[in-house]
Formats: sequence, structure tokens, C-alpha cells
Amino acid sequence: MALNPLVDSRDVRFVLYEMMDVLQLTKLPKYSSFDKDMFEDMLNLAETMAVEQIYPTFAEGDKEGCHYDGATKKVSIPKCYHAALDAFYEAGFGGMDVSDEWGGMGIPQVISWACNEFFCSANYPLLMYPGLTHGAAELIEAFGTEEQKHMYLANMYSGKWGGTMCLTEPDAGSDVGALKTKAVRQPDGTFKIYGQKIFISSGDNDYYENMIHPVLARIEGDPPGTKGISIFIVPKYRVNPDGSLGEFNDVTCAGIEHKMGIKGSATCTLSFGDNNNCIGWLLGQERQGMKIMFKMMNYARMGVGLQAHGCASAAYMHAVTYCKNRVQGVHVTQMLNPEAKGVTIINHPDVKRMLLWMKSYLEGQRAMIYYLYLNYELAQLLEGEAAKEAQALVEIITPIEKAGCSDMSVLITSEAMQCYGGYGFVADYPVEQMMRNSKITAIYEGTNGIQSMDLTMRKILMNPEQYNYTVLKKRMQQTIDKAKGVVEDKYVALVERGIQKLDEVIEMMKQQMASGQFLHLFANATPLQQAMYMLVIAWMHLWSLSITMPKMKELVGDKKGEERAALLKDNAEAAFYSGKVLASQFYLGAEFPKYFGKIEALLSGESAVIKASEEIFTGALNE
Amino acid sequence: MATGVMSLNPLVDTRDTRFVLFEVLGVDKLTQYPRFADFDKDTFEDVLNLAETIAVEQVYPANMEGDKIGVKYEPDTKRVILPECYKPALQAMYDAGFIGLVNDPEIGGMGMPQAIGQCCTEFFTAASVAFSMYPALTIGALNLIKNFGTQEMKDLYIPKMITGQWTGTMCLTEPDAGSDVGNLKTKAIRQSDGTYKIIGQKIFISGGDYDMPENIIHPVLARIEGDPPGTKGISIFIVPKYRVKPNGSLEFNDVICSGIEHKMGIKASATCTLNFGDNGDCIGWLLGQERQGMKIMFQMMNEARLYVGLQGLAVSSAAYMHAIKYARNRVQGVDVTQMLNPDAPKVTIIKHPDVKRMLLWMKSYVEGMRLLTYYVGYQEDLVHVLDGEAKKEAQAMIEFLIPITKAGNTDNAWKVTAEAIQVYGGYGFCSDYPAEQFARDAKILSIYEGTNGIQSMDLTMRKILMNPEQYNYTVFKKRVQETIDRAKGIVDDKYVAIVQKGLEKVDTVVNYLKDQMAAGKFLHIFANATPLQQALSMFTLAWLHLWMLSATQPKMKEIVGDRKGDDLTVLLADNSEAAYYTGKVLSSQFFLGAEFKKFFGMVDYILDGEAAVVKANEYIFTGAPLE
Ligand SMILES: Cc1cc2nc3c(=O)[nH]c(=O)nc-3n(C[C@H](O)[C@H](O)[C@H](O)COP(=O)(O)OP(=O)(O)OC[C@H]3O[C@@H](n4cnc5c(N)ncnc54)[C@H](O)[C@@H]3O)c2cc1C
Ligand SMILES: Cc1cc2nc3c(=O)[nH]c(=O)nc-3n(C[C@H](O)[C@H](O)[C@H](O)COP(=O)(O)OP(=O)(O)OC[C@H]3O[C@@H](n4cnc5c(N)ncnc54)[C@H](O)[C@@H]3O)c2cc1C
Repeated sequence: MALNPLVDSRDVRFVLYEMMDVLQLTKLPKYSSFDKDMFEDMLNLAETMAVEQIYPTFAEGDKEGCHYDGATKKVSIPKCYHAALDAFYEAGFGGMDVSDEWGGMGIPQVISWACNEFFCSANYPLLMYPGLTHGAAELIEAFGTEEQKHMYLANMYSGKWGGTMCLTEPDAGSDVGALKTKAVRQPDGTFKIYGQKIFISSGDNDYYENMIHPVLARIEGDPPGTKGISIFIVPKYRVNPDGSLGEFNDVTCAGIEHKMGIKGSATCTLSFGDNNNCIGWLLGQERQGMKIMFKMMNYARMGVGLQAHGCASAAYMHAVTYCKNRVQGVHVTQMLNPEAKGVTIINHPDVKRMLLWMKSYLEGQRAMIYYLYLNYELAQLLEGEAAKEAQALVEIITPIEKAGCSDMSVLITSEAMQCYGGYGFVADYPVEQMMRNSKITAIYEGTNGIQSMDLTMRKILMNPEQYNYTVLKKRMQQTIDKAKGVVEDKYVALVERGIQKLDEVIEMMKQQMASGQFLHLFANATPLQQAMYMLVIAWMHLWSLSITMPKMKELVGDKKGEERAALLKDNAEAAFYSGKVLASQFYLGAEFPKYFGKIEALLSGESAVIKASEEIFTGALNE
Repeated sequence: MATGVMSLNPLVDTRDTRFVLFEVLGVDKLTQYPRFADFDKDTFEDVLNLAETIAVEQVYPANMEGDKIGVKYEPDTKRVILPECYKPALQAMYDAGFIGLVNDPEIGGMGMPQAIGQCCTEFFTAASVAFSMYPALTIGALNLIKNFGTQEMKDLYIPKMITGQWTGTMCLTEPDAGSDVGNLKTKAIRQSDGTYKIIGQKIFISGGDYDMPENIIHPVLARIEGDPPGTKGISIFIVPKYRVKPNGSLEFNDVICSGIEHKMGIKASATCTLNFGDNGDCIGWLLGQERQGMKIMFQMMNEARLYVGLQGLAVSSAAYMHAIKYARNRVQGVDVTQMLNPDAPKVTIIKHPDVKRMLLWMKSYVEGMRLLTYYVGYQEDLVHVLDGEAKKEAQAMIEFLIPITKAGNTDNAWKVTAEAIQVYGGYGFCSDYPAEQFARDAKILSIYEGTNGIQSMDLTMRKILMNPEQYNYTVFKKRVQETIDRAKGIVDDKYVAIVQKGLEKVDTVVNYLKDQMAAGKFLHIFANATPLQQALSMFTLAWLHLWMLSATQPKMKEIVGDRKGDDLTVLLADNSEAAYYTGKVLSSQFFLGAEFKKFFGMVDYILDGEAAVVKANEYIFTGAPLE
């Protein structure tokens, strides 16, 4: 397997084939024409492209950034992005998981997202262009009329036209229902759109010939709040019946944001209908906008988790390489020897700790993410109870994945910088950019606070009979049962105790719910999400360990000391499985004990947050 | 003290600074000692108010602009150009005498207590992290000369430095000598007149060159030709950018800036590569004795580490204060209790439980860090005024707490500033708002002045395990126990009990590590250094919250009584002291009741004895290219 600075491709294969057994998909009718070789070809192609064409745009795209020309109101994206995007689309990645009816390749989601992990870790701001385009096209595919599909899909999946997702307005961020953008019914069944959207990623750019905006707006006379929202397709240029571009549709970019990171992604303020000439076509039914958008949002949230993870993976991989080359200080055991030679810092226990910490989170996340995508697909492919269970897993894991991976991305990229020492803070090295890029993933697509409330309320407490949670627990219990006898008892016991503890928390929350203690529930939403993320990662490690442990024993035997070092140096598989085992042991044995502290905090019933009123945050100016 | 009329500013909760200084530490009691006898509380107040005013009115306005413009380098002239907006702000700070705030009056200082100095520096640093580095480095270099220089050096440099006409740096780092200072290559060649020729390159030198001071005085670590390798062979030299000729005029000393770094943050701080003696004409004057360079530099480093810890506090404070203000004004969503009411009015986000949680979390860290940082400064004052055992104990607390302050505060700073961005939502990520700069500025703090990994090893080995009879730790434990004993009966039992339980756990860990030390398990100890530092940092904050709670709980009861509901709300809205003490109590309760629970998981990390880190060698980190 190739070495690259972005993603451990061997681990990608481990998760896909050894943990998730994705080849099970080829036994289902939809994927019966695929086999492992085809998956491999795709993954290798993605890796090559990520490393050779996308990654080189990473630093340059950040330095150049996006530009807005106030006179022409045009946005230009980094020049180097163009060729990379061309290559991406030419290789067919714009529609890799899409049916051939729209020019796609029809590979399974989980494979396409493994490809996306390579792309995201190479330069996720660049990937936002095709990513949003794909999301918008999917909306049209799922909810559009035949005419709309034929008008837009092929051009979008092939990268001729781009797409966005237009929700946010100045007064409508987390509270989408507060939006003011208006749709006025026209006699011909179309709508005139008036309003302003802000923070629209890819909103305008000089790459795509046309932009197709799904826009949330309220039809005149419809009720306030989310209930009155409809969704419209609003192209930048109208499309003629023959498919050619027609009249300008009065969508202008009024400016772009200057940001901490993802500087290659254009974040645009879009004005619709300034000249009273912006037409929107209803997507789906009137007042179904939120429901429709939610489909895209769920998918987009999963994608944000992957961006965050990819960004962190690249930071970790860079740190590994750096630590293998930076010579500084002598070995701990030689500290008193004045003749001792400097060693590479990867030999220092504290540096190994940092790397192992990052590795353990990333490998746990990778398994969680692929598992999520696999279930996303299974929910559509399977039937009856099995499909329902897969859907339940998607529901409950999505907010954990989005919020968990993005919170961790901030911490992992920061730890990668720590490995680089002072050089990490300097813009000549890539990690500071990774760190700057990481933070937005905790904010957009619903802040992590919003994710946590979604998890706590909708996905658990308000979910009838806590079905989602019950399925999750069942799956975790299955892993525990399988691990028994294979994995050391202490690791198995920890995860088992972890589930029991979570049960206690959920019981407590159910009672709080029954007695209407909503303030307590909402104050504990984020702590619950953070704890559940840790538990899910622990689960993944236990699962992984029950595979890697026997494998390691087989490859390494009871070799110790020099002998073991020599083997690991020469035998990549032995090194890989040893690393997997250690990462899991580190996570379960050292990191996961912190979970119980988090649980205690949840169970403590400390009510300081609830008692805290606005006035007690003293000292700051009011305005 | 004048209650409730303290000014509001966007940077630091001024009321809390007074609480820490006067109600918790009792810094005003220092005036009973001769060294501080000329002062009284009013003089302290005057200087604090002055610092606040300059910070808010002159420094803070330069912060964002300084970041946008950044420091510039002209390769042709080799000149380093400071953002123009920084200059008047620096001058105002210098003119008000803040460089010499805690220095002896006989050398031109004001002779104020260090604890007061900490507070003033918090204001300046909260106003701009990069800004306060310029005076801080000057102060560090000045103190080196004061403590180790000859009379001639003192006369030559100190009067100019204390006014900011000349500034200072700290020149340790080289390409191959970062954490491993002993590896440095800069050379000193003995001259017949007792001076030395300096030849070498230093990198990452903050304030290394810029177009404001008339002269820059570099304390430079170098090895005298023939001296042994490693730290033992290091000497320290005073190397001015311009040397002073007998007639008083300045002559270029062959110190050139050959470039500056472009960085994620602190962009207005000049990070310079300095070449010494490219033309064979750079002269250095030995400071102290030959081969005593590390010992001497360590004194400065301790001071500098405390300052970096303070930077961590200050940037967290500024980020937190901005987040409160933002949350008070941003309207989004409806009140939780009104979620099913379609006509519910929209509320400011500070009303949402999850936002309150974020703010209370930040508040509890900021307030804990503030007491910690001032406390260490105050111990330095005590070292000056006390004798015998009491002095030794104060010294022990400093030794023990410096790595905790440096590493703990700076790790927290990244998390607190990131959480502030979170409160701002999408706006926090945009450069039109200040939050993202705080985060960018914060991250360097865990790296320079010895990475937090190095701090953790210092704490574990030098400050605890190798410290004879664990004297430092014993003193620390005693102080914590005193706080616990005093809190009993005043603070709710559960909060007292949890700190007691924490202390027992800390003891278990220290004993565990002692056993490992005795058994020669160094790899295990070093692998657990950072986890230990993180656990102790958290425990230290818990201790300080308990201490604060013993002061704030009775005060709150006195002012608030048993008011509840609307009654309470009205009181808190009108009576800023009631709001202040209530907030203090809640912040401490939150920390002890919820956050501190995580400490026990952190301790189990160490005690569970997981050996994965020790077993990991470089080959198991697979997948990445070797170079
Ligand atoms: C770089 C970038 C790209 C973006 N791309 C897009 C895009 O392509 N399309 C698009 O439509 N939008 C986009 N956004 C907008 C993004 O989705 C919003 O910023 C995000 O949803 C948060 O909204 P807000 O910024 O208004 O924050 P606010 O909603 O004001 O939130 C501020 C804080 O309050 C909290 N909060 C708010 N309401 C509640 C509540 N009821 N209970 C508890 N806590 C609450 C939040 O969690 C947050 O911490 C982008 C933003 C950025 C910065
Ligand atoms: C903006 C900025 C300003 C600075 N200002 C100054 C200044 O004014 N004066 C000055 O002299 N220097 C300054 N520095 C340098 C700074 O102090 C060093 O960067 C820092 O000491 C770390 O050294 P390094 O960068 O070489 O990292 P390295 O020493 O290479 O460290 C890399 C990683 O390895 C770890 N590591 C190294 N050795 C060991 C060991 N033995 N055991 C365990 N872990 C180890 C470190 O903890 C770190 O995580 C500045 C740096 C920056 C970025």
C-alpha cells in the first residue's frame, strides 16, 4: 500500500474489509456487478489524485485565497484549484456514487466516502465545491420533477454546473425558521425570490459555468417559523429548454468573508432579486422546505464529520513524518550520558504519547465514519427490521460523528502542531493551516451545540421507546460478546461498564424529561454528546481489537525487545497490526477512563449552569 | 473598596482582579513590610487603574490592526517594520513607567509588588498578546543584567532599558537547538581585552529587531571555544545591536536580522532570525561567569514561563469577555421553555442553557487561572519579604506551580479561545470579529518558553520526583489541606469532600510515580509526565476554587439572602456586587461539581498503568512517508 502524507491507506482497507466487510454489499443486487478489484481501483485512483493533484493546492490555495471584485461583483477562487477540480471531475469523482442515468459510476457510498477521506485530507476547502454541488444535485434527484432532474443533474454531477445550500441569513443562523427571504407566486407557477443569504459556501465563483442554488424562503402569506418554509431551485443563469444557458437570474454576490481558515472556499453573501428579476422553481411541495433540506443536511452533517476527520488525519500523518525526522535531545535512558547522540523526537515518550493519542482517535473515528456510511446505505438497501436498525444507527450516530469529529479536529490539529514545536506555528509548515481549517467544522451545518440537542432530544429522548438508542446498545453488546475471550478482559470490562454508565445517564434524563426538567436536559446536551462520542470510539476500538489482537499474535508471536523492533521495521504488516493493537489499548486503557469522569459530571446533578442567569457574567461591557 | 463602580471593559473582569488581589490574597498586607511600606491600597489602585486605562484606550485598539498589517521585513535594508499603530501604544506604556513597575526604585523602578505587576500585565496582554511581548522581553533582559551584570553594564543599560529607549530579547533557539538548548552552535571567541567575538545564528527571536527602539540588547547563549558540549559548556553574553563607544555614541555591532517568520498568530510580534558576526565584528560581553549561562538563563526563563502562563490567562480572559458581550446581544432562537409556542419572542443566546454552559465553563477556567497566576506572583513577593521556613515554602510553591501555570494555562487558552469562537457561531470564524485572532494568538503559548511537554517533565522530575524529600510537593499539599480545613463548615460539604478526595488521589499518584522511579521505570514516568501535569493543573484549579468559594459563599449569602426567582433576578440586575458574588459562587460550583469530575478519569489514566505508549516504537506509526 502506498505511503502518503494524508491518510493511512492500509487502515482504510482494514476498516473497509476486515471490520466492516464491505464486500457484503456485492452480494446485494444493486452492487452485484462490483468486486473488490473495482473498489481497489477506485480507492487507488482517489489516493493518487488526492496526493498528486489536490494536495499540492493546499498551501497555495490558502495563501492566495478567494477574491471579490467589487466592480464586477465576481468571485475568483484560487487559480490552482481549477486544474485540480478539472482532474477530479474528469476522473468521474463528481458522480462516483450516482446512478449511470445521470452519468455516475454507481459505486457504494461507503467506498465513495473512503475516497472522500483522501480528498478531504488533501484539501477539504477545495472539496467543498464538488461536495456542495453533489449535495444540491442529490436534493434535486430526490425531490425534483423529471424535468428538473433532466435539466440539472448530469451537468452538476459532471462539474459543469455547481451547487450550494442557501439557508443562513443575518437573523437566521441556528434559528433557520427566522428567515426573511420571500417568494412571490407568479401566474406561471414560478416564484420571484427576494432576499439575502449570507455565509454561502461556493455561492459564487469562477469555476462553474452556472450555479444552482437550493434556497429556503417563505412564500408570501405562509406562516412564520419553520412550518412556513419552502425550498426553491434558483439558478444563477436560467436554463433554456435546450439546456443552454439563458438569461441572468438576478443573483449577485455582494461580498465574501475573510476567515481564519478554509480561505480557498468562497463564503459569499448572495442577493436574490435586487432587480426584481430572480426566479425560483419550487422543489417538492410548498411548506415542505425544512423536511427536504433536512435530507441534505443530514448527509451534509455526515460530510462535515468527514472533513473534520480528514483534516485531522492529514495533521497526524504530517506529524508522524516530522517526528521521524526531527532530531532533538537524547534518549531518556541516556540522559546522564554526556556523549549520547541526539535522537529523532519520535523516540521521546512524550512525543510517542502525542502520536498514539492522535492515532487512537483517528482510527476510532475512521471506523465510526465508515460504519455510519455503511448503515446509511444499508438503510436503503435492506428491508424490514434490518433496514430500520440501520436507519436508527444513522440517526443516532450522525450528530455524534459531526460534533465529535469536529471537536476532536480542533484538538488533534493542535496536538500535531505541538509535535512540530515552534515550526508548527510558522506558516512555512502545513499544520497551522490545518488547525485554522479545523474550527469551522464545529460550527457550520448546525453548531455542535445544535447537534448535541438533536442527539439528546430528537434522537434519544423523544425517539419512541428510545428505539435508536436500543439498537445502538444492542450493537455494542454484540461487539462485547464477540470480544470476550479474544481481547483481554480488562478492556472488555471497561466498555461493558461504559454502557452501563451511559444507561444510568439516559435513565436519569428520561426522568428529567418526564418531570419537565428541560433546563437540565438542555444544559447537559453537549456533555452527553461528548461522552457518547467517547463511548462510540471505545466500542470501535474493542471491535477492532478483537480482529487485530489475534492477527498481531500471529505475526509477532512473543518476540520482544530488539527482535520485535527488527521485525516491525521490516514487516509492514507486523508493524501495522502492532500499531492497531497499541492504539486501541491506549484508547481503552488510558484515554477511556476519562469517559467515566464525564459521566460522573453528568450524574452529579450540579445545577450551576441552570442557576446562572445572564447577570452573573459580570465585568464585560453590555454592548 | 469602592464597590460596584469598577469600570467595565472588553478585556478583563476588573472586579475579579480586585477580588483576587485584595479579598483572596490580601496583597495590601504587603505594605506592612519595609520593602513596600511606601505604598497603600490607594497607590495600588492608582497603578491598576492606569494600566487598565492604557490597555483599553491605547493598546486594545491596535490589536486587530496590528494583526492585519503584521510585521514587515525589507530584505534590502534588512529592516524590520513594526505596525505603526503599535508605536504610540508602546510609548504610552513606557512613559507611564510600566517596564520598571516591580523594579527597585534605586534603578528607576516603581518597586511595586509582583502581584500587582501580574494584574497590570494581564490588562496589557488581554488587550494584545503580541503587544505585551515587547516590554516583557525587555524586562527579562533588564533583570538579567540587574542580577548578574557588572556595575558598568548596569549603568550602561538599565537606565535606557527601563524607559524603553532600548529594548531586550532572549536568544536561545537555533535550528538544531530548540528544546535541546545544550545543542547550540553559536560560538564565542575570547579577545585579549576580555570581550568575546560572537559568531552564529539564532532563530525565532521575539523582538529580535524592529524599527522602534534606538538599540536592542540581546542576552545570547553561546559556547566559548574549547568549552565542553552540552548545557555545561554554555555561557551567556550581552550583545547589543549597537555598541556604545567611550564617547557615548553608538556603533553597529554586526547583528543583522536576516528574516522574519510568517505565523498563524501574534503577527505583530517580530519573530526574527538573527545573524551574529557575519562580518566578524560582533562583540559580546560575558554576563556572570563562564559556563554559567544555563543557570543564569534559568532565572530569566522562570520569569518568562510565568509570563507565558499569564499570557494564557489574559488571552482567555479577553476571549471570554468578548463572548459574553456577544452572547448578550445576539438574538437567535426562542427560550427553551417556549419551544412549542409559535409566537414566542426570540431571545439573546445568553439565555440558552448550552450557551450558559459554555460561558460558565470559560468563566470558571479564567477565574481559576487568574488566582493561580497572581498567587505565584504573590509568592515571589513573599520570598522577598519573608525569612526562614516561610520564605522557603513560598519558593517551593513557585517552583511547583510555574510549570503548572505555564502548561496548564496555555493548554486551557487554546480551548477557551476555541470555545469563544463557538459562542460567536459562524461570525467567530470570520476576521471581522475578534474571536478568531484570540485563538490564533493563543496557540503559540503552549510551545515557546519550553513546550508544554518540557514543562511537564520539569514538573514531574525536577519539581517533584527529584526534589529532595518532595519538599515542593509537601508544601503544596499542606497549602491545599489548609484551604480544605478552612472551607469546612463554610462551603457545602460535597465541594469540600471532592477536593479532599482529589488530594488523596494526587497523593496516590505521586507515590505510584515514586515507586516507578525507585524501580527505574523511567520510560513509564516520562510517558506519564504530561498526563500528570494535566491532572495537577486541574487539581490546582479545584483547590483555588474551593479557596475562592470560602470567601464568596458567605458574601453571597449576605447580599442575596434567600431571594429566588424574579426577586433574585431583579436584585442581580440592579446590584452589581450581588451579581458578582453569585457569579463567583456558580463558577466555582460548576468547576467543582461538574468539571472537576473529569480529574478522576485523568488520574485513572495514570494509575491504570496502561503501557501502550512505552511499547509503541517508531515503526508502529504506519502509513506516513518516511520523509
Ligand atoms: C465559513 C462558513 C461557511 C458556511 N457555509 C454555509 C452554507 O454554505 N450555507 C448556509 O446556509 N450556511 C453556511 N454557513 C452558516 C453556518 O451554518 C452558521 O454560521 C451556523 O449555522 C450558525 O449560525 P450563526 O452563525 O448565526 O450562529 P448563531 O445561531 O447566532 O449561534 C451562536 C451560538 O449560539 C448557540 N445557539 C444558537 N441558538 C441556540 C439555541 N436555541 N440553543 C442553544 N444554543 C444556541 C450556537 O450553538 C452558537 O454557539 C457557513 C458559515 C461559515 C462561517
Ligand atoms: C513565535 C515564536 C517566538 C519565539 N520566541 C523565542 C525567543 O524570543 N527566544 C528564543 O530563544 N526562542 C524563541 N522561540 C523558540 C521556541 O522557544 C522553540 O520553538 C521551542 O523551545 C521549541 O523548540 P523547537 O521549535 O525546536 O521544537 P523541538 O525542540 O524540535 O520540539 C518538537 C517536539 O518534540 C518535543 N520534544 C523535544 N525534545 C524532547 C524530549 N527530550 N523529550 C520529550 N519531548 C521532546 C517537544 O515537546 C515538541 O513537542 C520562539 C518560537 C516561536 C514559534
